[in-house]
Amino acid sequence: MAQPVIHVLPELVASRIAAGEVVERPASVVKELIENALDAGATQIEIAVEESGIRAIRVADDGCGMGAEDARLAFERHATSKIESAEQLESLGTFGFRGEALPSIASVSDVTLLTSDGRGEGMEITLRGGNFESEGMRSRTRGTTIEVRNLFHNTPARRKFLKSEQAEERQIRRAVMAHAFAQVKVAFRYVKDGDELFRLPATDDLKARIAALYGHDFAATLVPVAGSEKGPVISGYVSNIDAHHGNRARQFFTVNARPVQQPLLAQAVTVAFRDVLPPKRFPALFLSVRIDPSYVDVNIHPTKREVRFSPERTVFSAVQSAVGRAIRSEGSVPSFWRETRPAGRHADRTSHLPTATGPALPLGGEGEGSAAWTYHPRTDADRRDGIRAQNVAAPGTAPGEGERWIDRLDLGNILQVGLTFLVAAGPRGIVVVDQHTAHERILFEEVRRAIAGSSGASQQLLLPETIETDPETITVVEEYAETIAAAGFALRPAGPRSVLLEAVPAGIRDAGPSVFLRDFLEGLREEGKGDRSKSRHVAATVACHGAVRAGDSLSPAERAGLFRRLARCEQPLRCPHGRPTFLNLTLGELARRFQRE
Amino acid sequence: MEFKTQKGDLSRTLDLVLNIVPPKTTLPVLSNLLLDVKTDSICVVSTDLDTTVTTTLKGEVIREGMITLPARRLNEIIHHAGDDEIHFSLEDETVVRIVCGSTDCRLPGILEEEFPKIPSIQTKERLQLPAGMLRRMVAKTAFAVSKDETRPALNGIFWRIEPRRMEMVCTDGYRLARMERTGEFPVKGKKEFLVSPKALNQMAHLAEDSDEMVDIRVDNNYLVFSCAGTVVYSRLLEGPFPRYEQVIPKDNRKELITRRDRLMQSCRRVAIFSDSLTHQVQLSVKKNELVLKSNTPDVGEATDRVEAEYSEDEMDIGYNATYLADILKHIDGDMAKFRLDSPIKAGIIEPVEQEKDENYFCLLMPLRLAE
Ligand SMILES: Nc1ncnc2c1ncn2[C@@H]1O[C@H](COP(=O)(O)OP(=O)(O)OP(=O)(O)O)[C@@H](O)[C@H]1O
Ligand SMILES: [Mg+2]
Repeated sequence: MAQPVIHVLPELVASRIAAGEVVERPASVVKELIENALDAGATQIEIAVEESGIRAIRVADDGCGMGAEDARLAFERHATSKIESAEQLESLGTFGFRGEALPSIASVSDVTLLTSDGRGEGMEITLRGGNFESEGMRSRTRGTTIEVRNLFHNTPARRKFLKSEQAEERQIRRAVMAHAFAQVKVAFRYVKDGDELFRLPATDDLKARIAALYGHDFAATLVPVAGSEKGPVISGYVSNIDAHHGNRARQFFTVNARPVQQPLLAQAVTVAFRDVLPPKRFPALFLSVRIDPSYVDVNIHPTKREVRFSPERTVFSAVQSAVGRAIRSEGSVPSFWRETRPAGRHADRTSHLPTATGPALPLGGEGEGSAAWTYHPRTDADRRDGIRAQNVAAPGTAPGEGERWIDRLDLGNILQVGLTFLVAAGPRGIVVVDQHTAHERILFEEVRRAIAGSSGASQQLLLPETIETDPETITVVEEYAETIAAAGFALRPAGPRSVLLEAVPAGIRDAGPSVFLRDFLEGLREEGKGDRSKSRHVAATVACHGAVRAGDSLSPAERAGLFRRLARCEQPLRCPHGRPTFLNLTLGELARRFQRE
Repeated sequence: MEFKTQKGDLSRTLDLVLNIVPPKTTLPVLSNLLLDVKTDSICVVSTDLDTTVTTTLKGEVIREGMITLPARRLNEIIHHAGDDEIHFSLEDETVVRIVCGSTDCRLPGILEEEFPKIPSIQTKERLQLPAGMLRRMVAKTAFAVSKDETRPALNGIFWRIEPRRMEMVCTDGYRLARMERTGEFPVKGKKEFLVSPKALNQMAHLAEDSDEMVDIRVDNNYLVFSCAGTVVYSRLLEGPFPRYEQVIPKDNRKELITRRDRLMQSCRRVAIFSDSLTHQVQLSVKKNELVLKSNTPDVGEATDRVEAEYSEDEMDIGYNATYLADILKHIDGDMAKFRLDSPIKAGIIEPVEQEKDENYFCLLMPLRLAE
């Protein structure tokens, strides 16, 4: 990086920058200092905090440093080396652009800056409550150390708003981790009250960094996410659908390497995981969105916590579809189809981070990125299996989209256990399917597809039913008339409080039409707007009423059919309510149970 | 309690009562049979609380007494027993010793006090009908009974008896089967009741010979059949049964006649390609031809043709293939007649030639085809 020169922004440019409080809490100080270090091209950053940052925050880097003149200017408001004109706000390449962070921090604390540009001696400057106190020469290798002490000592009101020490420290740590996941090539070290909490060497592999922070067992539950349609490039990792968590603590998003808390992105992920996770459970997620900087506005929030995308819908659907693909991929199918190797040995794998030019989609099992996640044929017999497996993909389905796992099972000999579970054996273990949840999933997807293709067949009723209801429901009936008809109901108003039901969606197995309609209307009332969710609701209702139940006896052909249809599902692992549809007992698992290992 | 009986007699008796024993129950005694041994008779009883069957067992009574024994276990013992005489004796309060040839076993039972009481019925009126006739009426209608437990009125066979006619009707709301018999029936006025198909099937099962008469009594709560020493008590189902007469179309004038077996086979072939949920097939009714079609994304499509006599307007009607094949299976004779109106109205399907004194037809509601 060429030696930057700090200058004060003209008033006009400065006024266009989102104003507000830059420093809300210790974590914001840490974030600003890390971003300055990254902007300076650091390859190693060390963060140390004392008493959750109130007493001291020290961030040291090996970046370009500043010359003496710049070091003095750095604390002036709107003094920055990063932009010169308002146009540059449109396409930022740096974290900083306001020249606001250092003066804001300095005004609420005591700051010592020690910096050296590597040409001659370093420079040390001390400020108290924003006022210049002293300056001198001190030796330092190239880079910058900023120490912030007594944060908020002169603004007691602000200090009062802080949460508990632990809570503030958690926020600091999260800020450090967010950058550590965003910048895997930079080494990070984090020290809290003199204890080193983590030290992360530079790497090329996001997964290695995740493993370094959260452990190899956790990293083994992740599947790669990749997508690069229509602009934004999505990459990263998401937990497989069995490894959900009680909160969103392990969700990290970056936009062009800038960590953000983006409700839009979280929402896209929620949608992708809908029908898959049980209520109130969340996936772990390390997601990076790369998009032409001119489509992103980071200048909307004083702490840059949120950004704005100009085509929001594009980013939303790119994230949703990339995450959706990842969790439908074989990698997300619990270990049954994977080689189970001891963790750690994964570490020497090449990077799974896909690039924009070569998206390593895990779908085909051929792509580089999926190498660690799919089963590799070893013996000749296995290899033959693999080949056959790829040839039998159902017409219209690309090979690998859920077809191969089923091919390994002996579908001619499926047992039905307790009139509830179906058990099939394969060369690498046993699969147990819950006949009800599996069938629900199948119907759910079939009906949803049918509605999407709007072939919602409708069964006329021999005995039309008058259904008593309330005026509110009548309103729903009127408001959603089109959806209701598209779903296959024929409804006619029959007074202020009743409707006449003349036809229902074909294929409800054993629910009474009126029960079914009531469920359906109930759901419509709760569901938000948007056509997708409506068809989704219809599908869920039909699935719930149409699915075989525990206690239903299935013929061998029906059992095999259920497996095949399940394999055709986009998301075969979960019923629409997030309950599992099947369970694997791998050879490895069996061996462990029999204490063979 | 002590008696002797022959294996053959006992298995025939078990045959009559075993169907009623519920497969799963929260009341353990319902898994048992009651053995009620009197000086002059051995009576065996099973019940699921809604249906109760009592029958007599031939045998030699040595000592009176009562006990209940697990039905399925007993059946297994008898099934594997040799052709010998079987000797039952109560050893202590609840354990029955069963000796049969070289086998000697002890089977614990449950005290007879825990077994539900056999319903008593207050009516003098009785009616006798040939077993064969009842069996046929049940067989032609019961398939259309609804399995939807939320609509109990559709879970039964509606049975109406009048002095000159009698009918049974079943529907699940999508199709309906109705069999009417004319003749002389010794009832005063009109009798209507809703009976579980389980009990009627059990009754149909009783008589070996179709000419044998079944004795029928009914009060407000129970319908009771008896025949050849066996009595079936069936709790009547809660109505009301829907007023189905209103939905029977009166002016379906478009008649189509076709070979029943051809159409049934064609329907099954085309159904392979129908949607697994809706089983939708499309019938294109043409001049002298029926074209069946189904088309499901990912599954494929099929077309099949069947000759038919038809000279009215052509139209396309959607049906659930399973329902249609089911109906065709229950119609007698080589030729089936469809009486149609429009693609969203009920179609009537009936045999071209009705049996003597019979009037049988089925109604099938179409699936509305998406445009
Ligand atoms: N760690 C560092 N290494 C080298 N230069 C730094 C460092 N920290 C700050 N600077 C210099 O100080 C200037 C002011 O920093 P400051 O964080 O206040 O503003 P900024 O980063 O330009 O914009 P923003 O307010 O958006 O962060 C920067 O433009 C940069 O030139
Ligand atoms: Mg900055």
